[in-house]
Amino acid sequence: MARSDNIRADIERIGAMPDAEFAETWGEWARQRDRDLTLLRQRWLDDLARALPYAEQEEAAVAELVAAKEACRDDPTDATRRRKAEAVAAVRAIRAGERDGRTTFVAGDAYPTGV
Amino acid sequence: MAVTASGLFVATFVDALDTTQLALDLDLETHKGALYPNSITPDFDAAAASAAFAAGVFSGTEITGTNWATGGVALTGTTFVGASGTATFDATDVSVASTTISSARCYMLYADALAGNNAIVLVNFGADYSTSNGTFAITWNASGIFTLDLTP
Repeated sequence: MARSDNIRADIERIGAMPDAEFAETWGEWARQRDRDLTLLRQRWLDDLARALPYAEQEEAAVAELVAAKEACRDDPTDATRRRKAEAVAAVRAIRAGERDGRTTFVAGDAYPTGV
Repeated sequence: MAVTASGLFVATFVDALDTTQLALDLDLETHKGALYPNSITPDFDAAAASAAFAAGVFSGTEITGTNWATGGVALTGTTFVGASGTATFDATDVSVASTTISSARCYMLYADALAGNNAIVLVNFGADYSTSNGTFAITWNASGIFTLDLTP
């Protein structure tokens, strides 16, 4: 599944999880890190919602990137190199937009990663 | 024995640039990332035969789990570009749904398309991460997976 599909599924899953189940699943994790459980869920959902449009944009841009890389590999001309460079720039711009503004999406901070 | 740092595998890069002419193509969409526990001690200076998937410290130590198959997961959206004297390798953040994985400490990216499955880079997570029927996600640094300063 694409990253955006996973993000959508996580938003639905985490958002719909009853409070008791969320507490049972993440209560100990939050307690060990002195995190407020309600705030934890909200920040987690906020971060996922923020990431979703970037993931969707990147997936569209990566499709062109893959095609451009193939074209450049098969026929490395100025034109295919330019197409590849433009595709790379488009993907990098989207990633920069997501990552530069990311404040809580870091390992071990704010909410559980790798879940 | 422990994972204490991230790094590039020297033999792979030397082989790509010397008479060996290892066909390392960082633009490929077929490189795979495998997970390993903190019980391994990566050797970034290991000989090529040991700096590879299923070889050296990566033999018999891989972490697998539900939806994270043996051999790892393909890294997509790869880019390798140069600017201002620095080459940067990057890719789409890793996101694998519905995984059950136990105590992954690091991620080793290797060239699955090469016969030697040569190791490219190891990323130390800094802590063990596990999932239970959840998304295993790796969000790369804003600067990319790695950078090479070619004009130090």
